[in-house]
Amino acid sequence: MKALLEVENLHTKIGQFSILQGVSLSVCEHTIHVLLGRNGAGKTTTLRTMMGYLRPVPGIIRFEDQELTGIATFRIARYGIGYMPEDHNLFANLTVEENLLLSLPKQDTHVRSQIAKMLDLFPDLRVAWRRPAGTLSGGQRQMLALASVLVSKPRLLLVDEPSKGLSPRFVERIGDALEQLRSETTIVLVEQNFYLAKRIGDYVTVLDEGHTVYSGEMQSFAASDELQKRYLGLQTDKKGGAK
Amino acid sequence: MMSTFFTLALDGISNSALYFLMAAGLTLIFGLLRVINFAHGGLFVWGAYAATFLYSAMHQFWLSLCAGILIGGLLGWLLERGLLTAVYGDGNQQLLLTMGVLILLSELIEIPFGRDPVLATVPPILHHSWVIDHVTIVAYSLFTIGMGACIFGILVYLLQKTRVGLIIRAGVNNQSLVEARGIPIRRLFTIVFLLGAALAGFAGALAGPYYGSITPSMGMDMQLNAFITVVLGGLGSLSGSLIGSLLIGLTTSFVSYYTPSFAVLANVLLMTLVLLVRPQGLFGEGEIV
Repeated sequence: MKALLEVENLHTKIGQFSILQGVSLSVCEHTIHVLLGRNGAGKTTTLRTMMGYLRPVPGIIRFEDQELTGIATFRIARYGIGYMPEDHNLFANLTVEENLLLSLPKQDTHVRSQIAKMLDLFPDLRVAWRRPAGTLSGGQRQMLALASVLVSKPRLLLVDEPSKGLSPRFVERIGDALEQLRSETTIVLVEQNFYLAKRIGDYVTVLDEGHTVYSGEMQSFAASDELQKRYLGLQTDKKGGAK
Repeated sequence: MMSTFFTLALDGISNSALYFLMAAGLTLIFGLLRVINFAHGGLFVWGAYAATFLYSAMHQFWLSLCAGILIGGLLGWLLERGLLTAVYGDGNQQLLLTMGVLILLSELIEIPFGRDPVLATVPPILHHSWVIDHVTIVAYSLFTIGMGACIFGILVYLLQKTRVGLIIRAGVNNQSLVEARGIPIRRLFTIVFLLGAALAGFAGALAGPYYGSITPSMGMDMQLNAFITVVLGGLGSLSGSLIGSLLIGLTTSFVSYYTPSFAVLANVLLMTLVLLVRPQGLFGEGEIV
């Protein structure tokens, strides 16, 4: 399968600290590629480096044969890469409607159909249409954040912990939405919730202390207690699930 | 007694219009760029001299107002592109830099025009006043109030009803996310700075005929009052600037009439009082309109 995104030997510093020290991954089109790892492994920094917020030295990021290293964030977004950060992922002072409108390019002629599609995907947003995003519940906020990225039809979607702090019901719904999107876009997902990750992920890359330590199919990783224990420190319970 | 009250109130409100034009630019710039632009007073002075010089040469009032806007915008553009881009994120450097530019602009204007006041005349069409029930109504004051109200309406429309306004409001809240939506935030910084600077130039152009004369030091005085206005209303809030400018304009007018030497002190005391009760100012931060 053709790789849409290739990341090679990424090294990123924040201040004087080397956060990434050799991250590599290859993301195939129309798949969900999950980044796993313990806290501080470098998952969020990897996404932020891909989006141009941090400059890798050295390292290569290639999106459809286009070199992204050193390019400004807004240009990377214009190549069709959507980014949903872990925190501060919406404009709290704007209404739901304005959050979605802002994400659409001004020349987009299919504004209504795109927004209608998002409201079908996340019906909870309909009732809060005119409300400032800052007044929404945690689940609604995550849905709006995701819808705001999706409304511009990105070719690659970088999502950082969409399930963080959500009730199981909302985690299910976020997971369902991401699964539905697989046919339309490609997703790189940072996720701490291993149950969600293994449910929807096609491929997995595990990071540890800024290095890629494992890459492979999610099915194999999810089936191996030994791999999970080695790379994530997960213990197996009596029913055979990781915890 | 009542006639004095109404005359002073009218004078105070027209003063407020000038303060508002200055404060609106300052607050927009602070709201998005997080820069407290002390050079704003310098742009005001240059706007005043450009408009006065052009009007005395050509007797075209509207053209002279446009000259004030243009000179303010041009200087603002040069300041943002040439100097401020290097110090974004560093409050101390911004403070020193913009104060330096204020002094430089005020001093430079003395080279061709000197320190003495330069007469700024009101155009004949606005050179009228009426006395109704002992209340003096000056046409140019009404014109200044009208201009301030128009600019407020245009800014509210711009911020609430246009895509640029939507992006500015989003940028005030979350700049890095604006970039992730494919919007170049630095270009927006330049647009907003230019807009704020043009408003300062416009305020200067209006202020000349309002005060009757202009001096190189008038920018420093206006800067102080505009700064008090913005802090009082809430840094980053346009509505706050409107209310703040009304309070400062009226206070200046009334206190100057009864005890002229206490005008600035009264404004500072008013600001202190408000900040003691509401440290974030009357309207606070977060929402620019």
